Amino acid sequence: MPFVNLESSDGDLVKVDVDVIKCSVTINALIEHLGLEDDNEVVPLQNVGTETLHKVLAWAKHHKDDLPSVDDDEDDPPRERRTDITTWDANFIKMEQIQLFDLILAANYLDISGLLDLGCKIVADMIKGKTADEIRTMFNIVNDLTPQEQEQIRKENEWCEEK
Amino acid sequence: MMEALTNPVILEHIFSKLSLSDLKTSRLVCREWDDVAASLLGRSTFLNVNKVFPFDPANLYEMVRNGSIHEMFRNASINEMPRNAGNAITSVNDKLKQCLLISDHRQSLIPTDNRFNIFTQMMTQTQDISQVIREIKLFFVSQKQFAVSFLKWIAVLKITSIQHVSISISEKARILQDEDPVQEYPKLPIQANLTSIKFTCPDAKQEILPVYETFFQILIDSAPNLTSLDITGIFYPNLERSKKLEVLEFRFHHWSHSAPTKLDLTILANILAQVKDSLTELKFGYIGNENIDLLVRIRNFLDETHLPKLKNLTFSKSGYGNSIYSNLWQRHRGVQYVNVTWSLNSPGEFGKTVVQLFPAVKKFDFTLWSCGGNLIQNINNILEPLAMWDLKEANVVVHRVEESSVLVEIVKNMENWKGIKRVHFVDAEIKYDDFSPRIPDLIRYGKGFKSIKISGNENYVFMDPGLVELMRPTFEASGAPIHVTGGVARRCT
Repeated sequence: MPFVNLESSDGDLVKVDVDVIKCSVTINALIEHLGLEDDNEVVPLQNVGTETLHKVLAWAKHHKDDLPSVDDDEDDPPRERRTDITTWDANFIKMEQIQLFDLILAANYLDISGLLDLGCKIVADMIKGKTADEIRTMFNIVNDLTPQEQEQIRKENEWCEEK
Repeated sequence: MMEALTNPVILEHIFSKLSLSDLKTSRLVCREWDDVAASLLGRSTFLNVNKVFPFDPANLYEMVRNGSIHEMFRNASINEMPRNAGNAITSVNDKLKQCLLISDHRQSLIPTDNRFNIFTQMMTQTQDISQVIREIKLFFVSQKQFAVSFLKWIAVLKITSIQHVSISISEKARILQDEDPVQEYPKLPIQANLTSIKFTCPDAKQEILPVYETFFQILIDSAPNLTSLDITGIFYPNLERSKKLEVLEFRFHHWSHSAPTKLDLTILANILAQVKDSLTELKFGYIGNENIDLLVRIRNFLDETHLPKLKNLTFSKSGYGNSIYSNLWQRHRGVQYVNVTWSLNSPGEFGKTVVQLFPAVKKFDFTLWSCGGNLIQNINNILEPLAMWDLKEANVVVHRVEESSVLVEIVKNMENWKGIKRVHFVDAEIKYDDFSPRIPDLIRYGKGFKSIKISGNENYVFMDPGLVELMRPTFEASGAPIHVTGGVARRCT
């Protein structure tokens, strides 16, 4: 079975079954581009730390045999769509905020749509029903909008109607 | 701030999972979030231009009370008013101007003339957004002058990025006595990006349609790249110039108590002939309470010779009854998608017929109505032959099933179909005592489905949420994708 060596940003090498990491569009492209035939070839991942990489791989291993996701719920508008999170995913994604965001960044960088989707769903659930103030506190975000700008946004929001 | 929360790609992914109200709140968090959320909001909502119109209701009330409003409108010159409204539009975030909703709806206190002025005002102020607007919905048009103003505005914008225009004529539309009959609609410059147009004319207003036919035709003629045209009402466009039209949707109303329908299938056949070389999808919708077979007497235009490129065919019907107009249907081996409505109470060889007519179907959307009774034989006649199709996907919606034997029989039949299968029993009213012993069968037949949903309507059924909870563990442990949210009760109406 072909393997690939991934090097985390911390400099650690992790040997991975190509079949497991094929969910990553980025790594797939690299493998194809580099034509990794030699098992000793190293793929450097400058944006992914060791801890996060292991998490990504745990997720990828569990979902290795998933069918490619088909967007078959085209009748539902994306916003309405409530795809259920499986119990395994729900347990997997239970982590500190900082780790969650590292994982989302990694999923984005590695282009793993299923994992990115899962992480973003969790963050969206955190935002749901909260005020702007509560969201800023939760994520430690500085408000750089002037009161006038906020007033304008509030007005504009009222003028925007559902399609 | 976390790095992930400043990445526009990730933010957009997160925001796409929010409700409209949460999305709007997210705009208020910080500038970066506003930037991404506003884009998304602009794509998924209409900016209601009438609301942007700078009339402060409190002031307005005061002005009406002391009579100064009449002064204001009497004195306001057309040059003066535009600037106010124009500025209001200009100050709105450009990202929100992708989809505009402009209404001719009678707004209390705002004089009629000012609804046309919206366009006059926008003409002077919005040329810079001609490349921003993607979609325009013109709502509730009730006067010709409004339509003329709209076209004049588009003519001023010249080359635009508008892709979709949707226009509905108001139920209250009328022809003004003092309307200038010679007032011409302006000509439009070519709208190369305009690919989709939708017209809606209310059923009861056929007599006013001629006033708007020219309006519609001008838009159609301005769009050489039009791919999709959706018409509700009896309007027969000239599609001579629409050489790229792929999707034609034609929906009409007919109620037996109303005047005889003016639907003329001979003209429709001529229209289809104009686009025969490009048309791939035909949707024929009928809103009414009769079987259309009674209304139409024409053959030989929905076949391989007349529509050689046809792939998708929809015969929809709102409400109970059949949408399959057997005297319209002809054999077509190119059709790969069929969408029809049918009644479970109709005897006949539906399944056999449809498989023979359209042997190459890959995707099938099916709406079934039930009005009770012993339907098992009918179900077999309708569903069993469809196993012959080499389907990739089938979605079946069944309305108002009352017998659990019927429900299980439908699932049992569909089990033999190929491809991804979904069935949704909507407004079901089945009795738990009758359903419960059949659950093992339902699970057995349902294992190969993508989903089986059963839901109820509280108007029909004595809702018993406890029953849903009672059954939940059985279905969850079953390995079959069965979701029951209602429709099962101890007793029914």
